[in-house]
Amino acid sequence: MIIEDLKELLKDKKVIYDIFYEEGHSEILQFRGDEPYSCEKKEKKGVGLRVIKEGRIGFSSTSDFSKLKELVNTALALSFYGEKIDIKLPLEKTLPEVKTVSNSASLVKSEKLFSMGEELISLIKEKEPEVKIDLSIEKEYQYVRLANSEGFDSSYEKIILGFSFDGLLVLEDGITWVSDFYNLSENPFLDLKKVSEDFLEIIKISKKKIKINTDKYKVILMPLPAAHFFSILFVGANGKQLEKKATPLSDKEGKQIAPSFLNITDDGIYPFGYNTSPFDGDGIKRRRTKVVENGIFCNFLFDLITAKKLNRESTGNSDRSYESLPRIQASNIYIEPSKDYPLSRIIKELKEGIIIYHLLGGGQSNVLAGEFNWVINLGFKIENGEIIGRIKDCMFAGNLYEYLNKIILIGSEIKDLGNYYVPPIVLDDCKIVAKI
Amino acid sequence: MMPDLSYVKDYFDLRIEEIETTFLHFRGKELEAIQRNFERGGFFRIFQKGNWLSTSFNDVESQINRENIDNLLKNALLLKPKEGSLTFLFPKEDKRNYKIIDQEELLNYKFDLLRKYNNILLSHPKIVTTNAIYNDRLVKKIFYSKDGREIDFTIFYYTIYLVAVSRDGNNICDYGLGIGRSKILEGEVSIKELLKDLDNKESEIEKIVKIAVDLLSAESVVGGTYDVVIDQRLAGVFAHEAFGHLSEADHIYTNEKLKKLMAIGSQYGIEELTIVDDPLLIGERGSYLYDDEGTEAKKTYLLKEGKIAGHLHSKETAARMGEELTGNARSISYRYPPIVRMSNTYIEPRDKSFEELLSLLDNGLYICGARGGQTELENFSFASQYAYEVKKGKLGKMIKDVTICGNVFETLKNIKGIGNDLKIFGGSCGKGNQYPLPVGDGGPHILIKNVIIGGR
Repeated sequence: MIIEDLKELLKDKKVIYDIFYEEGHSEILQFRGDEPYSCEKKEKKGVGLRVIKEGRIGFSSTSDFSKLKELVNTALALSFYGEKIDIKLPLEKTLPEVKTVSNSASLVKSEKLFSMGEELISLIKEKEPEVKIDLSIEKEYQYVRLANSEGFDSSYEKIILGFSFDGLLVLEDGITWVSDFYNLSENPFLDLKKVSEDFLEIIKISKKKIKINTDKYKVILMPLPAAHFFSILFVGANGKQLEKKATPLSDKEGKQIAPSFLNITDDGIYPFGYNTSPFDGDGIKRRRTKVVENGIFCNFLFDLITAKKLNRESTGNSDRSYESLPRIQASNIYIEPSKDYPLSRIIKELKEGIIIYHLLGGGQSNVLAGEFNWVINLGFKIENGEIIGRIKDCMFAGNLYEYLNKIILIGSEIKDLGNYYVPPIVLDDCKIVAKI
Repeated sequence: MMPDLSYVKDYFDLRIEEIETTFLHFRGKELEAIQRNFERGGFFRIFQKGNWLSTSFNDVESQINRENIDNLLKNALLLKPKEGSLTFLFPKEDKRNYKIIDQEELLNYKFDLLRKYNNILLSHPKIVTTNAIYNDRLVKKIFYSKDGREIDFTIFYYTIYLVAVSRDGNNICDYGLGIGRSKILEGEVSIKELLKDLDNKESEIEKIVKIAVDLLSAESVVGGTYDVVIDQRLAGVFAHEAFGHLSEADHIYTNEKLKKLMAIGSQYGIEELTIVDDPLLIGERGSYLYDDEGTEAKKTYLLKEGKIAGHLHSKETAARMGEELTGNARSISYRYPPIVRMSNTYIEPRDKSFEELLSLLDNGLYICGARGGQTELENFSFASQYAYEVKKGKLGKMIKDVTICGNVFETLKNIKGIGNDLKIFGGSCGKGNQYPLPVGDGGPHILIKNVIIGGR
């Protein structure tokens, strides 16, 4: 056993340490250009060792278990340079019960997953023979064990099952690219007829092009672009940025930053979330942390070390793989939906506006300051409650902290993106730049 | 020692990698991370009846045996047999030996270098924090395939990445740049000599600070359509992101219409416009000797004199499209299959000086640096780092938040001037969940008419 061997090697070294051990395997089934293309199996294992020697941190990792002695020596040697910190590693007595392994996902056979892919492609091709589909189904099993010098030693297993596909339609006047994703980690059943109908509807409406003028519009962000939008907030809500004074949220705790109907939770124990686990990379228990409550910014996210430096409590947001030191990362982000506002009603009640399905350029602006600058890669014009055509060559730029106050409506239908649980949102007064 | 795989009837290849990395990260005054990693693993795949069956693993010795290979082949029953072949190579053995001659441990040197630069970044009171990263990666690749290739060579990648974050009240800006080089190791090698490439960059780092601070008082651009000159970094991003990805044959072969758009000989740009992909450039971050299918690296013209001149290929796409192999099947590590990727991609320089290009702008923008770029086939979006207004050929005030976007074919047609000052930069590319792949990109200053600029 690797952890036991390492504990033995570290016994007389008089250091604080933790050992992060990871192993897993996954299977990826791929279709390319409508056809089955590949079946890929991956086996993975490795171990990362963090030591704190005389208050300084060193780290080393390996996937070659014949090198455990070198691993220990390297981590100890590197601690000479490491940051000095007065820290105790945690010994959590109770950990939350979390749902990370579903029986049905665990038992589902590759053959079944494969035939789901085939069936979806044939449902789409029946109606739209010109569309080319790429499709990928990935089933991953993961085992994590974390042990530290305080005596903490715990493990968990996780099964993640993701189903994603995209369709490409090349027309004389340009290209339409539509993608979709489903987290099947809880239940590997997918209503393929409904999935294909939703997809075909978008392909159908994208064939009609419409020109718009540069102007201010109401904008519906569908779940994927809405997740891009909120991800900027989580750059600012990262405790590391608070420590480094590099977030506009540094003086906003307890203050209104959004309309009172906005509630956002970082949920480390959401059933079958991609980032759900009983404990985080430091061995601190995962939990739910309200980040925005009734429009008020209420919490930064912390790991152990950053929390300690700022005299705060860790929120269990230390993200870690065996290959690197832990760092602060949101777990699963949950945007509370409204009641009775399905997409059909949102569109119906909109006199004029834009609906955005897909953006280019997420994360490449000055996100620290909250800036975004997107190309609307797949978007449509809405007039009198109906989608009338696809808009092209349009951009949407702004600042998240300004635009949070322009949220006028939150939809009622949550999309499960694996680590984001987000409904469509409607923004008021958005300047859309169109090419003349 | 390679296992005996002579019983495998179909095409297979086996790639074993040993990787050692060193990573140092200052954030503000603190050294946030210092780590060394050791990896060993392999990737094995079989091409059978038009489909790929593959497996990756850490236990190299125990994984590649007859039982496991038979199990892998059982998966073939899931995939429908279909037409498909590969372009095979002639047998060749090429093993490059090297010896690192540095006697001393170089960690001190790396640490001191990074700390020196980080201190320069922190030297201005308006700089609140930094990201200063040193990263090196020694990658030994051993490759063995059914068509008789036995390749063994080692690349050393070394990179620094420096960002300054400035703040004035609630106004927060950042600016940074990376320097990335690589070296194929052969004979006696001094790592310390190589690392000198990263030394003496003080003046460039002082410029990072100046720009990060200047950005605090820069105004955001007003969105609209502009004539622009882009700098060498942005030219590189254009060559790689907007055009280069379209030249990757795996995008092209599944789609007849795309094949037509990217047909050899189609004219999209002016005669002066030539874009190449060249993995044989010495020391650039995207350089290599053989790709991850054992194919020799070579220079490929993607666009020559404004016309489509070539596509980038793997063994599979070359066979499907009936074109020559180009040696562009690459993967980020042993955990991933090789897919069609670029190497060092750049726009060739021509005769115009930067001043001449600027003088052609009556009322436009000079746009510098790249925060990132994204494309989806014909559409691209690049965020720049900073920009200047240009009035009657003269640089004016600095502006920020400039993102350019458009349709690549239209933008190629709108390139109206090409500079004489080629520079190539080291970067990383992501495709098909494989990030970061070391690449180089670059170009000279470029004049483009009628570019759509996002803004508020």
